[in-house]
Amino acid sequence: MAEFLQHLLNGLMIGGIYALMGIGLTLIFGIMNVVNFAHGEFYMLGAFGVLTLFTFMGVPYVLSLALTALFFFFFGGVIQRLILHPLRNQSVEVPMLATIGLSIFLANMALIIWDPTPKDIGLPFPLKAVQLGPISLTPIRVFVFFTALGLIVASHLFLKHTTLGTAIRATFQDREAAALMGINTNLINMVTFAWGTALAAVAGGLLGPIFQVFPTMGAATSSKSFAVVIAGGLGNFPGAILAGLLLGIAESLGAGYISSGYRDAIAFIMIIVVLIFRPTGLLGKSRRLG
Amino acid sequence: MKRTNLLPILVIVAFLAVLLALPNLLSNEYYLRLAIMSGLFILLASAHNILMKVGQLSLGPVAFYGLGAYVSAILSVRYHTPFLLAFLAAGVITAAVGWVIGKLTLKLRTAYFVLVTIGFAEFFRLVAINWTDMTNGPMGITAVPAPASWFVGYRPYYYFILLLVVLVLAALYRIEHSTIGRAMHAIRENETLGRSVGIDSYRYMMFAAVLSSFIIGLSGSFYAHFFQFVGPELLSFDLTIAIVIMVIAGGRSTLAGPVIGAILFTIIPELLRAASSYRMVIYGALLVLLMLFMPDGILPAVMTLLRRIIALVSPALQRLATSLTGKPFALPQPVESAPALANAAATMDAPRALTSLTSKDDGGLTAPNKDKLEGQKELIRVEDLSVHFGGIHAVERLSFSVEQGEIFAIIGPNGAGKTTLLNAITRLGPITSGTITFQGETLNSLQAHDVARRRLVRTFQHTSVFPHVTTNRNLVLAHNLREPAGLLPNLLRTRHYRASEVDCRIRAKEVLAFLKLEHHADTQANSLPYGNQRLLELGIAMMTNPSVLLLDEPAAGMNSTEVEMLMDLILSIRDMGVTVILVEHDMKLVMGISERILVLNYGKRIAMGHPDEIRQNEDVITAYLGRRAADATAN
Amino acid sequence: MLQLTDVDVYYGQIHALKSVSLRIEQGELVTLVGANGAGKSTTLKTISGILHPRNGRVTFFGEDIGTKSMEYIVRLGIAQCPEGRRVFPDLTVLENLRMGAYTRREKTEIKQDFDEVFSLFPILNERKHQSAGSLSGGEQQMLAIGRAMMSRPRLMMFDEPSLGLAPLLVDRMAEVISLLHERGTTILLVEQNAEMALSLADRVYVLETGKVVLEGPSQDVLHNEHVRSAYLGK
Repeated sequence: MAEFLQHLLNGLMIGGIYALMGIGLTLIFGIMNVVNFAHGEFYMLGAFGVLTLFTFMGVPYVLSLALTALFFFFFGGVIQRLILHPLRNQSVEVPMLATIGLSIFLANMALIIWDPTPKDIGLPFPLKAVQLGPISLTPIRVFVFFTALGLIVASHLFLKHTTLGTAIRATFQDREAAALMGINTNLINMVTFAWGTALAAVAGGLLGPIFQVFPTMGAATSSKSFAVVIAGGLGNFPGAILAGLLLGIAESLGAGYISSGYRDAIAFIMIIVVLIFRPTGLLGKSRRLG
Repeated sequence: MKRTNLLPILVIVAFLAVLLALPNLLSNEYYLRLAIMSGLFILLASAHNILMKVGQLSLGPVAFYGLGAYVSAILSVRYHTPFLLAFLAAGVITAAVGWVIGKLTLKLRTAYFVLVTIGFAEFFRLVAINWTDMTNGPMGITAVPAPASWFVGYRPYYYFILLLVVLVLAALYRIEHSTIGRAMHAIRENETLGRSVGIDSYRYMMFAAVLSSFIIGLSGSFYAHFFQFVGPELLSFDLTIAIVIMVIAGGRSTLAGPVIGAILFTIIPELLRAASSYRMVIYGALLVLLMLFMPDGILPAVMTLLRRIIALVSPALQRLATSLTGKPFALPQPVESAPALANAAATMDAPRALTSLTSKDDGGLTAPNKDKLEGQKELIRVEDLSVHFGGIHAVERLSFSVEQGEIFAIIGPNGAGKTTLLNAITRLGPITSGTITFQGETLNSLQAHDVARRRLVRTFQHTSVFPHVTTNRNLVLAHNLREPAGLLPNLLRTRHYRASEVDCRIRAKEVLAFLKLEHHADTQANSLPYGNQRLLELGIAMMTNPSVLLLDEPAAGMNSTEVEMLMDLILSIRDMGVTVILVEHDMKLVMGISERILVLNYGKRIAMGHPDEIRQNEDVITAYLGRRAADATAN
Repeated sequence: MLQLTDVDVYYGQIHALKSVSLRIEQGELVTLVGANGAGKSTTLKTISGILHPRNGRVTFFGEDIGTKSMEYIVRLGIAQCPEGRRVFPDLTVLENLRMGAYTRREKTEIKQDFDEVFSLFPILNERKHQSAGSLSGGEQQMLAIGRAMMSRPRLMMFDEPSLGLAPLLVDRMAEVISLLHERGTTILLVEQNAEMALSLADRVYVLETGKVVLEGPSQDVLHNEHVRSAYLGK
């Protein structure tokens, strides 16, 4: 039982990260109809950002995380403007292939800059685990889970209760009508992409201290976030959260009880099964934000 | 006639001769190896491109590549199967798996299809890594035997892959220029329109998936026996990307594009080896730049450039040629696949003008029959039909029937459910309850292309043509349901096939003449004037020799002269024995030609009868013109 | 106030508006009538900046807006109530109205406009926390009009407000439009229901295949033989 709970909690933590990746990806798809293959690379770069600031330069961990988020918000905005904005009227596979090119570019740039050896970020918090009955929790894992949760809730509140958030939802539902309201839909695209990028970078910065940091770490996470977005329903915000948590738990339990070799297969089985039997996602309705 | 054909054949023969002599020309074994790799990638890229031809982008070709390689390697190493058998088994098993995956996934479109193919590829890769008993896991299978004892050095492999490439490209060329290639083209251009003229898009997508995986499976087997090693990295996403880049960079859905792309992108990374660590960085950047500046690929970009240069130079050339020879000079036209048939069609054309449009003996199918026509027989019966979208009742408990040979109009305010009704009849849209029968057979359980194959053919409210091809090609693409669809008749060009080709040409010519669009035969459809596009839609429907023609607001956007012409056209189509169901707002048109009119409002029938009865009907006036108008007429 | 001079608009290769000229004076109610596909919606889309003219000028209070962004044009005071209502289905009624006021910042004025919309359409006040998609067709049309009012437009354009509505509601829409007109809003109305449009309008432009074929005071047009047979079915 204790072991089961331990797996469950680990699963929730990873699941929170998947959800954080997933909501960014699903928003970008929903607003811009772009399947962003570089999402995993933003995650990887986020981890390297924290490595640089926290480990190499000694900036406090939380501040490193915040600076990384800020930097990648602007980075995402620039990428959107330079690469995706000019392709906005092309058929869906053209921007998709462009983001694949971007992901190859970024991953290999990182290989050149940081070499392929995995690196440790080091521990931002004391290692001493907190005992809750039979379960032990390290402070960093608690921090990761609650930060991820906090960012998801913040994203939800932003979409639901600010004018810009409402404008994003309006654009999502009817782009032309939104433009008729005077909403600058190009700006909405840019903000959405920037925001998704920042979330992915933070996800990397959060998991960095728990695992290791290396230039090709994005690929695996990227495919998991696709699984999350598909299972949740492309463009479905609450669906991505649910699917993220489910995938995290399923992987953790699967690795614990079945076989760790097939752990990564769970995400792909999820993609295949959901798309074949329920292409609108677990929550049924494909288009819903906030 | 013959002379125009000689040049391309000479070029191909010369080219082949060079390729055959290539091993002797290359100074270095390394180059020969590069040539073999190019050949392998030509196979992969061309096979992957088959799916592009039906408009589907797969990011999972490596699943089939790996499968073919593993099947061949396992059969050879573990079961000592002779090479040729293992090679064919790799193709057949991969094709079978392609069939199964196609069955599961080809209902999906765009991003959904793309993502599911990635899912399969990654799943296969993980199986290759983890099923160690069969695959040796990450270690891979080593010591895969050479195809035969005399396969020493690169030369035999080179000739083997050359043979394979030539065979595959010849087959693909043949398919491209056949009814199958045309159907695939139609699906890529406009799937809904394709289905509405009888093209079973799912079937052609399945065909594409199976053929593509078969060729990729064979390539995988070749890989295994060439490198004598198979490992899970064969299933990596990077390889998928390499293949996709070749197809897209070269020019997707063209025949030569993937070939050019494969050669370029086999050689470029080799050149970039000097830049070693920057190689993949440059590769990624190149892909981004390609998408930004040449999203259609190199071949189409070059062709456009060439066309522009020709357009610029040709007047000067013409003047020059005229001054030199005294004869006008014509640029060589693209050679049609069967010029002899074109010739036959041309000679047969004069005496047969309009015969096929009016002929009733259409292969014994459902062509309207004179006796029935005179008997005023019920043709279509709609019974208690409802179509609901969530809470909206677009069509509500509607019943009526249409008689053979009449012009039956359906009118009503915007949003009354007219298009929903047409969609239900042609099975492009849902039916919530009720039945629709055609000649006693219920249409409820049929799919759109089945309905079209029963000769119920429609046009669309929002202009729907095959946009990027010429007017003539639009008509040719719409001929599908009168053509043999099987692979064999198409590859072998049977008598039936040739007859249908002749019929297609004649018919296209007649339809063009009928619509008075001859002068626009070579105009790209989306640059036709609006009114002509609407006529073309009518022509697309006429190519199928319909027995019932359903027209959805054919006059929308036409000027009054065009409407008058349309009126005459519809009348003469009816006189050929075609039953016409007409949804239209233009009252002059509706009142002028229809025999009976059904008036809908809120999905319900509010009146039905002859034009004069409808004109007098109070409910109709209210529905159409609002209460004020009704009051005004009452006063 | 608004003037189109020899405007040519293309959809890709299709010549959708052919040298269209029209003008609207402050306080007028002008209507465009014509068959489906004649170019009525295209004209509105050109004024709103969804489409841009290839030739010709579109000016609003003397300023050339033919190349301006939709956002800019809304800020200048042109609102469109689009065909098919196009409310945001998953947003609440209140959020839909807030989006209408997206370009504005003055809180008190916005508050006044909310009150005005709710006094005109009390049903929207009752349903303000419901999602717009759950409203009936007529209520959605009211919401679309209210949403357009929220930008305090100097020119309001309606594209087929009677589309898919029951006769009773069509009359109600007519009343609302004439009320807005009486309050001083300049209105450009596109309507397939020519009888309704002509009964409301001061002046009329008749469009056919992308060209203005007739213009004049609505009374004159109402009695024009051609119009009577083509659009009024008489």
